[in-house]
Amino acid sequence: MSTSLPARLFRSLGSSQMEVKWMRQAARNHQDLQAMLNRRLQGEPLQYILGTQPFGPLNIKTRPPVLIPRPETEQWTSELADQLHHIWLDTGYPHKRPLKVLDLCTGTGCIPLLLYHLLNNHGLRLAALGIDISSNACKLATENIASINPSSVSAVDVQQKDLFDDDFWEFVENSFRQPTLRHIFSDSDGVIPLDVITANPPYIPDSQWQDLSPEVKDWEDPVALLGDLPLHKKGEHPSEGGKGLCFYERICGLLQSSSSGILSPSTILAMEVGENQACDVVRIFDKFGNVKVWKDLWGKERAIFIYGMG
Amino acid sequence: MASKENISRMKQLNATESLQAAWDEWIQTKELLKETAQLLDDPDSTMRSLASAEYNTLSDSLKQMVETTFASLLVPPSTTSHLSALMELKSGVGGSEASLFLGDLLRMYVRLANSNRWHAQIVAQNETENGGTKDAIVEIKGEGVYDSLRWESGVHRVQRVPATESSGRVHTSTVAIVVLPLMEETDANDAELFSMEDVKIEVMRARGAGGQHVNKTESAVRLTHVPTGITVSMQDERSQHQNRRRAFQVLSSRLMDQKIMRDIAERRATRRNLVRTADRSEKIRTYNYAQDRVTDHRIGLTMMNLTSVMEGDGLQVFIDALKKNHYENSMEDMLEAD
Repeated sequence: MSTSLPARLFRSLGSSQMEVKWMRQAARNHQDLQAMLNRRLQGEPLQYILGTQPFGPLNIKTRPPVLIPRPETEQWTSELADQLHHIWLDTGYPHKRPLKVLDLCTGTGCIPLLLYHLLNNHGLRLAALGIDISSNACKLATENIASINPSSVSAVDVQQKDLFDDDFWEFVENSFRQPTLRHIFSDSDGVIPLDVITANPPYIPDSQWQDLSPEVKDWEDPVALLGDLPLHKKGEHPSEGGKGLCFYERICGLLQSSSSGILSPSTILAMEVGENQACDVVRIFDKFGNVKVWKDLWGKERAIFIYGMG
Repeated sequence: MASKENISRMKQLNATESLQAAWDEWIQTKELLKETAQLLDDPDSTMRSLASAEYNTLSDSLKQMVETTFASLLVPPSTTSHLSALMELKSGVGGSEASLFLGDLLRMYVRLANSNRWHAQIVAQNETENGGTKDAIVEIKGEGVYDSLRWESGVHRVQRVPATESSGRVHTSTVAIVVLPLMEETDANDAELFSMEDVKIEVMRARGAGGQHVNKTESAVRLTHVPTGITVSMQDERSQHQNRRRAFQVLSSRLMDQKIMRDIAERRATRRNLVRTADRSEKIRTYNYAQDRVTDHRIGLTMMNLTSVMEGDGLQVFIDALKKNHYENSMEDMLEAD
């Protein structure tokens, strides 16, 4: 039995018995299982084989080449939801209107979906919009939105757009005015600023690409991972080249140039960062309000929370 | 408005209602008995025989009331009757044979759960290369499950010729089982078993740069409850969130179990009884394949036809007998109290 597929898997990929167990549970029959084991042996990510990744209490559909949700993202998003719940509880939910949430580089849509789900459980109404440049991601995110709220009326939407386009804010505001999201608000709510902006933007520097494990490099979309952009997209800070920070610079630029009413003094920004990037990202955003660095369970500085943008 | 005190007073009132009703019936029956006794000397013989029959019936009633009704009313009702169970199995002495037997026991309990229409789910399982199970945790949900299964806690011993044994020699191996009360999240919060500050959460594997850089599928978690030193490891679920949730569930169950054991010990201590609590390392049951019998050492019950226990209805016989035994012990305890 030493040449059995499971044994080969253990040896070649260092996969645990857990992976084999999960595949066994998901497989419809023996042939199905063999097919799965073979795919895994080729290095295909388990989540693409099984088609899902649990994320908080949700089950997010996964499909190549869309970025597979990471446990760190699950952690800071849950933490954010908890903070938002307490902030809005403490301040007596002063808006008394539904909240407006924007997620950039949304991928599978896991972040806005988890926020929506967790905050809804706390009785908070909100409209959440996810934006991504990739049509693959948008298609998948749309499926995730549909499968997580099949019957009840929800207000989560995804739109395809390049973050670097000049008319980005216009596009966002327009998207919130579409039926899927607009129904949450009433006319008396008036002009509503964004309450929360989240992002897990591509942050891997070009120089680190080669060293990535094949599972990531050969299967997940480089567009979702690489944070260094060609020169024509770099905008005002070409000096930050090579550190994977282009998206943070763009986000900062967008926020600074946003017209009045888009942000408010109580808008909260939460962004995931890569290893050793927290310092640089804090510096990029230092003109904004209260900046906090959040560490994940592995002790890495993983997210930047900024309270008060307007 | 129902205040906390009023609710607890209502509960006490309800509890004593049935006692009051039983007492009233007792007084009434005694009165009737007294009256009937007078008729035993009646000059009319028909009257005398009627009275005699009536007297016997009433006497039997009184006897029944004392022996059964009163006794059952005075034993405090089970505080755990609504709880489901979390069963932890660990292979003990005997290496791979023990882990094979653990697999057999696991199947036995899942079968028992199904026949009782309980819902059994294996939430953690460490398998061995030879198809056995090194350790496992099973969640069994249903009304009264904890009360039924709590007596399965202890060391189960198997005596048989292992499948791998060529010489036909009988081996003895053991599996240790602990049955804990299953705490739903709301129950756990109500019981205030622990505070989050006392729990250390650790992740099991290094993730290098982590984040977008890495796609590892394991999200194992280890909790340590610092005040008691209890640690719970969980890796069977596919996400951090799920493993953490399971781990907290197991932690709550272990802490609740400790609380129940403490309460029992306290009650025994105040009654100055000999401590009869089960030592978890006690051998409680032997499964002897060669002699085709299963013996429970606590109540001295032996069942022939081992297959009926491992694969049929036989286990239920032990469970019912142990429940009855516990009930009778509780009554004795209560009657011996000062």
